[in-house]
Amino acid sequence: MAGPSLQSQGYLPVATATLFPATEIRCDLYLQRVGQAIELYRSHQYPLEVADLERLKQHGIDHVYIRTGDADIYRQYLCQQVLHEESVPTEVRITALREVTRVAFQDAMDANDPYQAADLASDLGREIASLIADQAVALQEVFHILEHDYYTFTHVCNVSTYCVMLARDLGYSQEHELASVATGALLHDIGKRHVPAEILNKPAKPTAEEWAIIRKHPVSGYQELSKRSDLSWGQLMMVYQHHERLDGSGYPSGATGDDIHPWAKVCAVVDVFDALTCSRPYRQPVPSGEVCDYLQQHTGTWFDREVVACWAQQVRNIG
Amino acid sequence: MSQMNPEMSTCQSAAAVEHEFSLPIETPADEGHEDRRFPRFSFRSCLHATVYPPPGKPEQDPRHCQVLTRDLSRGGMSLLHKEQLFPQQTIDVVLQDGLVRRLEVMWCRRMGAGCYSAGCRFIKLPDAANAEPRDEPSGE
Ligand SMILES: [Fe+2]
Ligand SMILES: [Fe+2]
Repeated sequence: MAGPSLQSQGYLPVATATLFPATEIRCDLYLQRVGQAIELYRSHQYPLEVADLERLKQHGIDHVYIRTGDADIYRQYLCQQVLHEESVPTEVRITALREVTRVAFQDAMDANDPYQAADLASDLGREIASLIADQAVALQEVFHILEHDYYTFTHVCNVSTYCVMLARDLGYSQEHELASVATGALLHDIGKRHVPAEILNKPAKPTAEEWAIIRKHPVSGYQELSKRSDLSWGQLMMVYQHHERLDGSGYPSGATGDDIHPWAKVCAVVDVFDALTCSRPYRQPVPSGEVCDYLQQHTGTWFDREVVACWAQQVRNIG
Repeated sequence: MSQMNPEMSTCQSAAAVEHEFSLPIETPADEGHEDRRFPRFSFRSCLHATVYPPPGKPEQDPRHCQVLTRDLSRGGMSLLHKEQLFPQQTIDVVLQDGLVRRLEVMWCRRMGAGCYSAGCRFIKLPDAANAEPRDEPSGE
């Protein structure tokens, strides 16, 4: 996975799982070997062959890179040749979807355009909901496919996928509802754009001033999106209330119980689940079972009982 | 949390991290007022108000109610309301001289059961608004 340095040099990581032999991606692929500078791996005129993909796999290379400027071409490739291709296995389609989400969001964030991000989120939310709902995908299949690093793009993608699975099991059966939940989840941390990366990735406890900046992200996200007529109240509350806790100990308002929207309660649980099951620069991921115990310990005080019970049932199957 | 105590169980570490990244530290006493430009004065009063729906919930009717004010400055006022308010939500208050002033909610914080405190700034009211109400509120 590329660190911020490669991204700042204009490269985006793409999962090799989304590359197929003989398909035309129409963009150059780059590779970074351990301890070496990034280099051209395959020019766009030469499609990858089975042997190439095998070799990458043997070397444990699960990502190659594209130029940031080619993000749109790669996204089109994923949508046209992977995502909607019924013959492609579900796990590859989920990987492709994750890639589309990450690449698309990178673009929108680079453009510093929350409206572009919201447009994308509603398209991607539909895709996520239809893939997860149609294929009746279980968490145990998805958990191992998703990445567990600490980048905001990875996080929102994971949270969105989890939200759909959880909402589905809580009884939201309409695809448009699930798509709406997925979109809200993709946008839930959009206010983090205003939090400097050095604060978000800081390996030490944030100072009081840094905390004050972090704590603003639900409000700034809500303020940026609240005038969009195509976003529902539930979606906006996923953005504004995902750090609220049932007992009022959360932020930004300290709202309690029924003053917290049901979708925000769903988002709160999977948000914490993903935060803890992802690695950070200074710690290993916490095993999913332990995170589940942790969520259950705070049931009724921080988290909604029914939501945690439903999520725990799925998590226990991950193994 | 750059160095985890090795004796900490993973779940304790989880709790610690969660506290850092998801949960709040104590609410700053002066939350939302860091950019205050004008001195504020204590102003305890009960005013008639029209609370308009928050952006994002346009289908909700405006509500007539009473709000308790806490303090006042040239830039805005803070008040208490029984329901949660949201940033950018607008409220018309009728001051003691009968004039209507429009407020925009900047922040809101729960104080206790059925009691939220909100910091608001004055925004421009359309001239006609002091002559006739913006909308016919539906009551509590
Ligand atoms: Fe957040
Ligand atoms: Fe989050």
